[in-house]
Amino acid sequence: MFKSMLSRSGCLRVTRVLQSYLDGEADAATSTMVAKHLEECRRCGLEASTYRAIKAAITETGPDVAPVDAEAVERLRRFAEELSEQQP
Amino acid sequence: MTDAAREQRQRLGFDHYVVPEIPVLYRVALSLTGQPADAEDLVQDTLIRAFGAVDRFDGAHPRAWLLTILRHTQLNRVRGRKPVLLRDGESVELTLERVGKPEHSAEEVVVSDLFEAVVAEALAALPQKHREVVTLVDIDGLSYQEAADVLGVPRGTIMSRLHRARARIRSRLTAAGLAPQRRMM
Repeated sequence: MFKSMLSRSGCLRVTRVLQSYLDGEADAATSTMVAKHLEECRRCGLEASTYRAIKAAITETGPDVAPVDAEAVERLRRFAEELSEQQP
Repeated sequence: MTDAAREQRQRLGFDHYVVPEIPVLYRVALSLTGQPADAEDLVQDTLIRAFGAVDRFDGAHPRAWLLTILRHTQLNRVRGRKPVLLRDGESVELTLERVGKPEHSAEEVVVSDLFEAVVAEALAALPQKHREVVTLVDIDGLSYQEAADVLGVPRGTIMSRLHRARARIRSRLTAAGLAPQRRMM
């Protein structure tokens, strides 16, 4: 009973910071706490896996949705060069 | 400081702090405008403003400084215009047409493509405020603080929008039988 309550409070704490943890935005102490809990708690581990998969799917969608045009970047670099070289 | 010294400082600062960030600026501009031509114009205007201000820049956090300039530039450009939607959502059918990964079984490919299709649809269906945060963080690779700088909102707002956005995507996946039910605590 006591162990179950402790585990549940651990789950709640992890739920609050899970997104920051997955994005690499949590501080070191929080990351350690979350990583340890995810190893021990199957349900939270599953939750983390689901969100990792969502993040990966969105990232994979990226190049189709937002292609970064190398030629456009090159044109902008040339523009910056001309800007920098211009005489006032 | 003489004019010549100021110009020298301006050029060095521009080459050192601004030019390396052009690809990031373009990516973010593309997310904000949804149109390659608009994105290029926006970055050009941002570069002009940055060039004019770089001699007064203290050198701390150049990306955050540039993203703030980009945001102000974009605000000026769209003032008086209706906001532009980020981009059209991808349909399930289109996503399913993507080539499967050959190293996986046919069943895995179908499940994986379906998962991606539902995520893409759910992303497209998000309110714009939520979708743009997901785009900036997950696709453009910005940190929470950088996304906050671009959108001119506190870091905590980025966190709450991301949390809500991903929870909505997760709900769609659960409804499609592609993710476990959310547990009750």
